Amino acid sequence: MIDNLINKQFLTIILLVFIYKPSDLLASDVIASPNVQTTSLSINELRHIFFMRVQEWPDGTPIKVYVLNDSNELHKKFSKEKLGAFPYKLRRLWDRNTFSGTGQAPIVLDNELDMIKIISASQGGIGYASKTIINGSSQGDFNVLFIDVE
Amino acid sequence: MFSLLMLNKPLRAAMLLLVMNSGHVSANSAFDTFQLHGFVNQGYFISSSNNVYGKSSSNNGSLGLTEVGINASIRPFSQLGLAVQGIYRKAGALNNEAQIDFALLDWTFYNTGNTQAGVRLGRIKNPIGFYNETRDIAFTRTTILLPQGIYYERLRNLYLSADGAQLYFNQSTNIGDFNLKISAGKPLDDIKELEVAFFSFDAPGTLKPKDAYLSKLEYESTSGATRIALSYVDLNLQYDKSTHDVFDAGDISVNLFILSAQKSIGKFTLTGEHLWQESNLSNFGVLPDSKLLSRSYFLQGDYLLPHNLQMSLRYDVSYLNKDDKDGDLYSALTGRPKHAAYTKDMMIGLRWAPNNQWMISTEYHRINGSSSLSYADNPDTNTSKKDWDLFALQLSYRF
Repeated sequence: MIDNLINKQFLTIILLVFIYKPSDLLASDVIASPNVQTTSLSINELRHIFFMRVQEWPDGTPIKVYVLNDSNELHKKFSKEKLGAFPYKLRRLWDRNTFSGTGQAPIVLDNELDMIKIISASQGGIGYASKTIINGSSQGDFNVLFIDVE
Repeated sequence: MFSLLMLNKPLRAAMLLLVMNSGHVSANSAFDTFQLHGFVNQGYFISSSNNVYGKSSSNNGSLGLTEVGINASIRPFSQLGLAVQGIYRKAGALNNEAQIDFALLDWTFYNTGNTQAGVRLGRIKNPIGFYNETRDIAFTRTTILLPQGIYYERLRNLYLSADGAQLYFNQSTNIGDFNLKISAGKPLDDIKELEVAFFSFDAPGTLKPKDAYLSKLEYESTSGATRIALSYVDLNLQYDKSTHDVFDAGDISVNLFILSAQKSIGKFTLTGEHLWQESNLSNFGVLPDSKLLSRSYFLQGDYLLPHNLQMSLRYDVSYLNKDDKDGDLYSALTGRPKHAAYTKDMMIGLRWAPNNQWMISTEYHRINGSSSLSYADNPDTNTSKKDWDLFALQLSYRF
């Protein structure tokens, strides 16, 4: 009986590990505000946006870039895997923009839930969140657009 | 006059466009791009002898470095940015002032994503080496004290920013990003430090910056792990003689070239910069026309430790005259100690940044030579010491 229970729990854990591999838990999706007309971006275009090089969407709406803290695991993963840049490069770029007057920096948010809330309520916003958080948050309350990165 | 006109035209055009477009682009979306950032920085210094940022050689040390800055930026149109930063800075007896650090209009006239070209007008930061453009922000300089052979603290105002124009060009490629900046302008006025630096005493007249031409080409790999930059500066100063002066109204021309390189491998980053500088003094009358070749370089290693800690080690060398490294000639000509002609600085530092906003840094310097000392904090050079130690502690905040 007890053996059975342990086995069941063990099996569940094994299953969970298979379903939610650590990489899945941290897999991120690029999300945008519902009014954004763009549904896919190339890696290069995504870089231009997060490197703060382009300021507007093709339809002319100003782009608002949102990120998580430099030390946030999802942020680190997003910058390395999606942008191909180390978080310190992004910080250096944004700091130079901000403190030498040559550009701007993204808005830093505390957590992924804030990211989803704020982007769904803003115009022209872009950011990222992990798949699990997005799936977990009710789609009725928050309305974000998913952007394919090719 | 010319630069004022240039400044006014785009500004007026921008205002006009803003008014004309107010129906189309809502004021709200323009204001959406408004950003406010700032920083506060307090340093503490204690030295065995020689003063850095106040009376650091006194028993209690000196809290003589306070830096506060605030900046605002807005992009009313995607092609047009406006930015301004004000700084208050107290740095020993050297500085105690509030000033406009930059105030500029940025017009990106060409932008395809991969390529940007534009022009900036107003008060613009001088692109010199890796650090000059953001030298007053603790988070962007790797240590409390930047390598003094290249980022002379005593000539900070001259290097800081210039009133004029800058052309810029960015190109991103498969191997990384290339960035070119070309500036022309009038540097900010400096205090008497300038005269002491060039004449080794506070001359009766005033040495004034005339114009500066700067260019910097920088390459950064896509990941950010490799950076290379070349900076070239052509700086001209003019001496306004007083009624009873020993000198004639002479000219000083400074040409400097800096090669900067950085490579990060995992948690380790190696940074080096080398300066070649030529200063020409001419038409000073009693002072014969002369040429001074200065050299400086540093090599720094940074290692990222767990818990957001970073350790740094640096060796920094500078010679006022590369043909007089020991200062024999310098001492014979000026009567000042030989060690005022060079500085060799070995530094070990530790910094802790628990989050994006806060940072505590500390560093210890073992220094041989006194060429980096400011006249303001060390008025009697003959009492300065050749070998000395410096300990610094700094608390920094930004938003």
